[in-house]
Amino acid sequence: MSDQNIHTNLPADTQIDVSLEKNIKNLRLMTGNSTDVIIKQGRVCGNDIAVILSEGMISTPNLAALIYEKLNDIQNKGTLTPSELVDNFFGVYLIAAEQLEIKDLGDLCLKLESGFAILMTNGCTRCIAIGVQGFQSRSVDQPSTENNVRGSREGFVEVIRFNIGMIRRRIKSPTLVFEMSQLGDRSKTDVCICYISDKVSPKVLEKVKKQLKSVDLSMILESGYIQPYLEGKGGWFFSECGVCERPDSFAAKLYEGRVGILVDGTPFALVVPYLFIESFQTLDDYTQKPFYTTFIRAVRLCAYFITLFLPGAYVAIASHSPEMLPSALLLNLAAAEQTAPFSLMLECLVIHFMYEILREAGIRLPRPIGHAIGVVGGLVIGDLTVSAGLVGAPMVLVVALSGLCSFVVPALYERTVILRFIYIIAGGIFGLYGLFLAAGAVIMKMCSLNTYGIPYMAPISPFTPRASRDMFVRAGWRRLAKGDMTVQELNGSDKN
Amino acid sequence: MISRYQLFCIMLISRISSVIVCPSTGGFGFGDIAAAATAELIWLLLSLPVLIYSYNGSSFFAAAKKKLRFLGYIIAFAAAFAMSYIAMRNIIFTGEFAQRTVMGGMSGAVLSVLLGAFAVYAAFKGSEAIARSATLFSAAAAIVTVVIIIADIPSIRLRDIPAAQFNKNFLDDVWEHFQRGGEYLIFAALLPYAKKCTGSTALVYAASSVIGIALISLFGMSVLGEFSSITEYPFASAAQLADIALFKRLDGLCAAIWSLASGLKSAALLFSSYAGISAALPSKDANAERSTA
Repeated sequence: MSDQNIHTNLPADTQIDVSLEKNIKNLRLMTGNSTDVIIKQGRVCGNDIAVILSEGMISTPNLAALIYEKLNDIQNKGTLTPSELVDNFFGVYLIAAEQLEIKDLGDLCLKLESGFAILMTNGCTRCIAIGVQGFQSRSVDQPSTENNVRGSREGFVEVIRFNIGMIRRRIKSPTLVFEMSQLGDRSKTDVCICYISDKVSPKVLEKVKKQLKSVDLSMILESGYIQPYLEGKGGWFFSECGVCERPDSFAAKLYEGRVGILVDGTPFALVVPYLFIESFQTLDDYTQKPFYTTFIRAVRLCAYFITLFLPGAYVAIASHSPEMLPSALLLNLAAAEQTAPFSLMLECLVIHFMYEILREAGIRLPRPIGHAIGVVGGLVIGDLTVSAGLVGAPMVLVVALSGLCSFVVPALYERTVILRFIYIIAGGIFGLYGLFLAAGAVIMKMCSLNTYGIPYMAPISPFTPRASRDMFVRAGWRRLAKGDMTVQELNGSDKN
Repeated sequence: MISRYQLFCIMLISRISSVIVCPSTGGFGFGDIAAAATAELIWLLLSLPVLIYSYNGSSFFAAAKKKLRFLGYIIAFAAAFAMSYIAMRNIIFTGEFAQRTVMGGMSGAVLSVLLGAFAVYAAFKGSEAIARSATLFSAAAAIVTVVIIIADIPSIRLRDIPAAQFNKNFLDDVWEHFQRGGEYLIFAALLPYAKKCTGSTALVYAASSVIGIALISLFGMSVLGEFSSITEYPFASAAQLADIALFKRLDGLCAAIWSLASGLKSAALLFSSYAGISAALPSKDANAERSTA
């Protein structure tokens, strides 16, 4: 979508005119005389100049120290032609770290809206954009979605430059590369591709750049907007693009040869390629003892299987294969379900649906009320539905356990919820046979994902023996340190 | 690309699943094992050209077309027809197996249709997806089988293994086991998708499959004793006696996992028939997929 200006039909590539007045008039036309555009005119070395800035996007102390002070200093040093003055700004006077030349109005507006101060001189067709950005932003805080017991308390923030700094602080290597570009016809959002040049696969990097070029959105307000463009054909369900809120995790992933994408305005960075096994790994795994990490990973895996399959398996076995259960347990289940008016499958679906409603309400409401919703939902509604004989107590237990386990692997939560419903329906209609076939189809789908040349299920299948030291079991650091492994080595091309 | 271990997994899980999901034809004891071994040997002998050629790592069907011209087309189409037939037969038998063991209240045809849909979906996902999921399904099936065997240990009576005897319909048994095969056809069709895959993979498979079938038969005989001759699905019947932890019997679990494995076999066969034909009749799509692989 083209960036049409409703105030004027001046094209974005209109060149800067020699007349300052005309330029200011054109700028006012182009910005619709917006009140946040401040134009301060003055005279330096015998030339009329204007300092143009966007209110709220610049740092006033920086503006005063870097521009106004310098201009006041140099204004009495004789008379210069406009071109000489501009040349001096570029070549002689040290004003700020960023001094860019601007030749057209479109670029001028973009820089202005990005927090640059624009210095315009009468009689010269070049302007200078000086970096004095200083907008209000949230300070570095703990990440909200990736809490850790040990390790850094820093999480990404909304300002992309701060995030770049946090990554650079962790990888002080000249091989760490940041490539900044802008996406979104209208939002012109800063997007930064990060990688370690001697670790990343050129093919993956090329593919990421190609995918980003294909983004045809007007507004990009969050990394989630461009995430679908980085996911492969299976991205509608399983994502080969991970989300990361921690600079330390992000740095570790870059070190493994992945490509990171930072988006201005969001603390959630993207990482590709993303593998299924990563959902079960956290930064704490590398700070705790290997034996405990191995145990915790096993717990996570069990929790994932419970949350995914327990409701479906319960419905399948209790409805179609009750003979599999011991008589005592079967009698208890039968007694509990005696008064329930619905089929097991319907019961399970309804209770799960109610659980998701309560969860959603708890998230969207202010935190104190959210807790209250949890108590009301979990205790009062659960207890009442069982007392009223609408559902059996074992079903509530199954749903509660399944819900609890779903939080153990938060990266897979969205998929888990939907798959759980699918498995309940498959198990309810076709028993264990249907449940296994549904699971088989999902595994088949997961095994077919290979957008970046690295299978989504690697290193489980295709199995990479070297990667097994940090798969379900985590070896000690001394062993891990023997030969780094990049994600490209998991493509199944070795002897396995 | 498919690794040789993945190809091995596809072939082995396919063969073992067909032993478990196909109904017994009446042969039992060592006679049944001998019939299975004979069928495997016939398949191996028939597949010798494929195995010899596989040492070059090229597509057998493409080479047959190139060297034998019209006969090559005939071979490719005959193989595709055979694979489709075995796949369909497998799907129908698995539906019946599931209906008899785990889904008594449902029509076997419906279950077959469901499995067929899964097989077609899996075949569409391509060789790599089939190969990768084969290793996962093999691991799951192996775990369930080991659990069943462990749970059945109290029921095992080695002295009940019937004395070696050939069924009077030995040739029928051999023919039945022969129809359950087809793994060498999969091997021939998947050769171009596999890396460093030599005939040794097929030879290891041949030995493993005979050992696997023999072990499963022996397990069934040792648990069921003389009743093994009157059961249609000896392994599933043995799983009925498996009492472990929360479960009183494991036949449902056994039926579900081996039905899935059987679905994978059908998928591999369907994909292989497509791959065989496309190797003989090169099309743009087939070439593109092979170059991607």
